[in-house]
Amino acid sequence: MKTLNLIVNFLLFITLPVAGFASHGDASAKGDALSKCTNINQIPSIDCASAPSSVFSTKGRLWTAWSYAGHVYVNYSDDKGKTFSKPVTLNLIPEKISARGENRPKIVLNNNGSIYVSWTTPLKKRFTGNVRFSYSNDLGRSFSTPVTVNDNLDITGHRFEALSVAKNGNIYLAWLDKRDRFKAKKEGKDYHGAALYYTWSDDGGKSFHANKKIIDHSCECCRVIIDIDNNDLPVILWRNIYGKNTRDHALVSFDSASKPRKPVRVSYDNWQVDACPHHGPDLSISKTGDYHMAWFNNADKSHGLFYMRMGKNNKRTTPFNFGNYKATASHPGVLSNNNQVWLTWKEYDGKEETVWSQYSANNGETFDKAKTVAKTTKGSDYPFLITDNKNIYIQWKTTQEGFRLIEIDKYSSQVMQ
Amino acid sequence: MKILVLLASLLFCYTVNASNKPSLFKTDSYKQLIEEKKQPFLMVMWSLDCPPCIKELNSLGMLYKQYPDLNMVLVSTDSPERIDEINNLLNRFDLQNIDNWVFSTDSIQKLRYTIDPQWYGELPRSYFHDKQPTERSAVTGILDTQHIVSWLKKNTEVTPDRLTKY
Repeated sequence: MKTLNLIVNFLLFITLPVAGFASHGDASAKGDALSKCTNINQIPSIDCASAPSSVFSTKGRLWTAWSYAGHVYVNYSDDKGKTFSKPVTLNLIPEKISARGENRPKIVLNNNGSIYVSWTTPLKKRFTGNVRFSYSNDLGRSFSTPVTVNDNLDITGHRFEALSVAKNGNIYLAWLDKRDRFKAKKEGKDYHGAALYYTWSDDGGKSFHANKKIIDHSCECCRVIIDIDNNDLPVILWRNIYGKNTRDHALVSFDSASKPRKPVRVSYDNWQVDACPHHGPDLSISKTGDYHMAWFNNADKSHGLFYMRMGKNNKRTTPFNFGNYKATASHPGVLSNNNQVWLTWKEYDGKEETVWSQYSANNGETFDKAKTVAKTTKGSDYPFLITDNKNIYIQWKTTQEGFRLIEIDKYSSQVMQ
Repeated sequence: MKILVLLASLLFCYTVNASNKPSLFKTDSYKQLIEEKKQPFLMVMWSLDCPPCIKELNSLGMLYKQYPDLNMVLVSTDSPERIDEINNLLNRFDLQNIDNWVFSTDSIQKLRYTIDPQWYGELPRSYFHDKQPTERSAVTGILDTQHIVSWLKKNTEVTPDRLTKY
């Protein structure tokens, strides 16, 4: 029997996509969530996805977008992520999909029930990609054939897209774009970083306006975030390059869908590094109109996670340093509702990955003591704060436990039992 | 049955030693490197998803050509299924014959922690392991070739002839 097991194990090993190594490792631990995903003929589960996104509808239905084996899927859960509907495939023709850490399929819902999904498809050359979009107007039963949103089709970077929908139905997409860098290189010129471009649709995603540039020289590999402000217009936050290599954060708001204002610098940590931080910011605009921001920087004098609020006339609060820097506090999320603010982030102590949360009842002036939300030992995605407008949840996908939605107390950020 | 096992084992050995390909970097690999690697050595962490890393590999490839004795370890933090892309890139910069590693499927956070609890995943990230085994310094971002040369001067008994190569 042992011999048979040995042969079976050996045969299993040679079928795994790890050929070409000088030694080999465990493909995935038995019993963890990913082990459900070995049968390619089975309908995939969200547990198979490394980087899912989720959002609540106004009726409390949790919608998720995720990818697996070349397809983007959307499904929903009516029991807060315990069970899910059969997933619907958005791209019938398989394509590469960026789904890891900073980049993942995104999903937003229009008030009329329409569902909008975006993702990045990498192209053949390294650091290249196109921004893809698909919509459903029949409550997720079917989706439109995906379209490429970037109107420049050079084999260059159009990646790290952010997606949002305003109350008036306008759909906004912003992303890191290397068309200008591509052009500069062709002309033998230098171009540092990428650029931030955006577009919008005012017909429910059937068409998009011509792409517009917001700024040159953004950081290249950090996620971009959009939220909608009290004027029903987008606000975009991203990591920018200032001067030669100072990687701080910038924000742009709009006068109208077609008129971005001048971007403003919002962080002054002065992290000077010619490297990829792979660590984008987060943004949440409260009903009071304040911009609540969270980010990571690793400058000598100003490092770790930071929370800051920006109000009228771009008045900024002193950044609040949170999380345990010595336990690699990373990948912060922020959510606001009137004067309430929640933060989440990830830490690692050498054994366990832990998600934390912290709560402010006074518009981010002060925060209560940080609390542990959940732990895992075999690898995890970033944590995300989401709300169904009644309660607060943290989405956390872990290798071992799969997709989880953890409810936290809305007056303390303590985990609800 | 025994013959079958033997055949399977032989095939296995052939598969894993067929060429000089990156080793899988596991949770005990860094400890092993420190214990077994002849000091001083330079360890550079890089990824396919990091544009500055490509510039870094390019300059390291050129440096390595000039100084093939440079004791260097390259670790790709990408997942093992991207091995073909990794090998292509290493070949492109003539870095395929140095001590190459790629992160295993262990938790990326855990792997990073085994190297440096204070490393947040920024890339490229380099560790200069000095002549003294207990001493090392970390650098985030593209390395200045001159910095590597000065470090070499400080840590190796290089002859003037060798130095002129820079």
